[in-house]
Amino acid sequence: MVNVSSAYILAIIVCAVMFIISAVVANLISFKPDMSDVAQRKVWFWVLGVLNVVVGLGLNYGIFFTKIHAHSKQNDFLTAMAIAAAVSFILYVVAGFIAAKISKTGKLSNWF
Amino acid sequence: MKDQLFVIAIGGTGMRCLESFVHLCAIGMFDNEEINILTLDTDQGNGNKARVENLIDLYRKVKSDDSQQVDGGDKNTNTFFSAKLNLYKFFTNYSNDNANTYQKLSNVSTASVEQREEDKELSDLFFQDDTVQTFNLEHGYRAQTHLGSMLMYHAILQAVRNATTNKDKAHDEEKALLSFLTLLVQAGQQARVFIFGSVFGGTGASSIPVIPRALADASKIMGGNQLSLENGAKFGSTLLTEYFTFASPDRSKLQKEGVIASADNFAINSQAALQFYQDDPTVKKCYKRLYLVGWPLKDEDFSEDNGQSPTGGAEQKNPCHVVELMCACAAYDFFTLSSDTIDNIKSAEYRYRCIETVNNVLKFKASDFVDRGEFFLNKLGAFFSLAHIILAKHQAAWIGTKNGGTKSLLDRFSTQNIKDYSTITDEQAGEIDEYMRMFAYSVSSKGDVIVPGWLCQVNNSVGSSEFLFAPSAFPHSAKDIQKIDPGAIFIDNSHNWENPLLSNRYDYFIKHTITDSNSRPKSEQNVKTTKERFLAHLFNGITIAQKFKI
Repeated sequence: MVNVSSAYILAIIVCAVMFIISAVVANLISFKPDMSDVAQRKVWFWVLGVLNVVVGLGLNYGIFFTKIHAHSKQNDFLTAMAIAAAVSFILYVVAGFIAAKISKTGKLSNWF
Repeated sequence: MKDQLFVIAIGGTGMRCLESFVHLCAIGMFDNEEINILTLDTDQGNGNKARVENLIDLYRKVKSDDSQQVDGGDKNTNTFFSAKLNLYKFFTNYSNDNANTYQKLSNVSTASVEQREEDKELSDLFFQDDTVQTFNLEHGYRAQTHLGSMLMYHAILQAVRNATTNKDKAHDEEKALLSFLTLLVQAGQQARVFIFGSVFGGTGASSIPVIPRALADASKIMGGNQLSLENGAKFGSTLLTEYFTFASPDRSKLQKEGVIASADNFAINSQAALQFYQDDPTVKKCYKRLYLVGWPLKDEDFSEDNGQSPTGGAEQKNPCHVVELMCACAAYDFFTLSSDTIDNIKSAEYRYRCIETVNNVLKFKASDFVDRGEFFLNKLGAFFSLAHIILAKHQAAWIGTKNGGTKSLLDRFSTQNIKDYSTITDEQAGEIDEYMRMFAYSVSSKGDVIVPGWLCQVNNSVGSSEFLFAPSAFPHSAKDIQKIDPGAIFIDNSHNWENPLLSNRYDYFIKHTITDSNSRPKSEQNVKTTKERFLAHLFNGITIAQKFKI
């Protein structure tokens, strides 16, 4: 049984996974004397943020949307997918901002 | 009460020993000390003298907050640049055409003809009249120590007399000598004085035997308190025998100059000097400790590329040698003797130390330089690593590199939200870079030729012998610099920084220095100026990474 809450749950799971990947990547990028690492961390953070949306939408579509046959339910699910994608992106950015401020001197601080 | 420390560097070799001493101060060997330094030479424009004086000026700038008003910072503990240095510059002024030879100096205008004849006969008895009495003194005493001792004694007394009786007209160097002597007299029995100079050359060899006596007699001219030789300042010095050579002067140069120091005589000069220091009662009374320092391998050749050897002047800028570092370490030993030990020395003690040799290859260990070998190696290694970070990783070795060096290291701190050091200006950051270049190496602005700094020169001087660090820590070309790993300089791998699997040592260092609260400057380090705090932060970060058990 597929309902709209599945779209939100999946989006949040994808958001959490992407956030963890982003944090791991940030820590794997070594400090460099020319400071190029700072830009690399920023780029990876935003790329993974966009990927978070894309992957969330893709998985919701592939796993749930294709199994819905009723038109009215499809429209509801599409709306939920869009809202979930937006929420997961905002959640990702807010979580990144909070992590950057908590890890004041660490590598995550380079995100913001 | 703690003794006050004084250093006197005399002649070209003395200046290079002082250079090593200043670098020992920079690595943090003289914690919580204020050291008054007197540079003393016959040759105002001597290249070695200029180099060490620039170095001390730079050292003071590095510690000061205001680059316009350099106060030399403060005394700190357990950090880089922990000692406060004060510099006094004195030279015997022989630039006047009427007073640039012994003959002219000894020509007393008020003397009668008869007195002059007697003076001449006496002079001729000791000094060859057509050479020793007539050579130009501007470039030193040219290994004529019998003449030099007398002239140096005379010059010191004359300078103090001028500065005392005629303050307004006195030259700057005379005032500087008077200021230094005043501090020495004020310190009295609490003064510990270490003298750097060679026993085989000219100016240093001439001065070491007479300096205590000259300073004591000069203090009498000042009036008031006087420096007592018997129960006053405690003197120590090195007896540094020959370790360098240079091409013998050709006939035309010899004819032109009259007298030129010949390296051929250095060995015999050293031998005679050692016999003198062994027996002379004044030396035994004046000095508490004399450190015998020599070099068993091939002498360093100081000849220029054209095979000529300058008699002195700005051209005389010889590279540093490991024996000079030994001399600086002798000063460390002397300055760290307990008061009880030094007070109980009634007649000069002679000290020496041997270096392990295997198949004619010397194997230097840190404990050969300083009793507390680990303590020394920790500090020297930390400073060398910092030099690599600034010069190699942040590219300050390339003179004129914009936005590199200490500035980019400060930018890193700022980016990682450590704003404590953001008031350090680009100019001040540049001063730290410049010090590091003088300490380790730089790359010539013409092409990619590496210019060895002090530590690389010292390492070069040992040839194929083993020095304190891994050979890979010393770059020989600009390409080598790019491959340097600041955290892998030690022979003993346990002191090299951790090398994480998916990262590198530089990353490890920055990560831990910035995030580890133990790296932050501590109150007991007594660091006050922003730069002192910044340097203490780096010192803490590096020493934690080196894991010495001290």
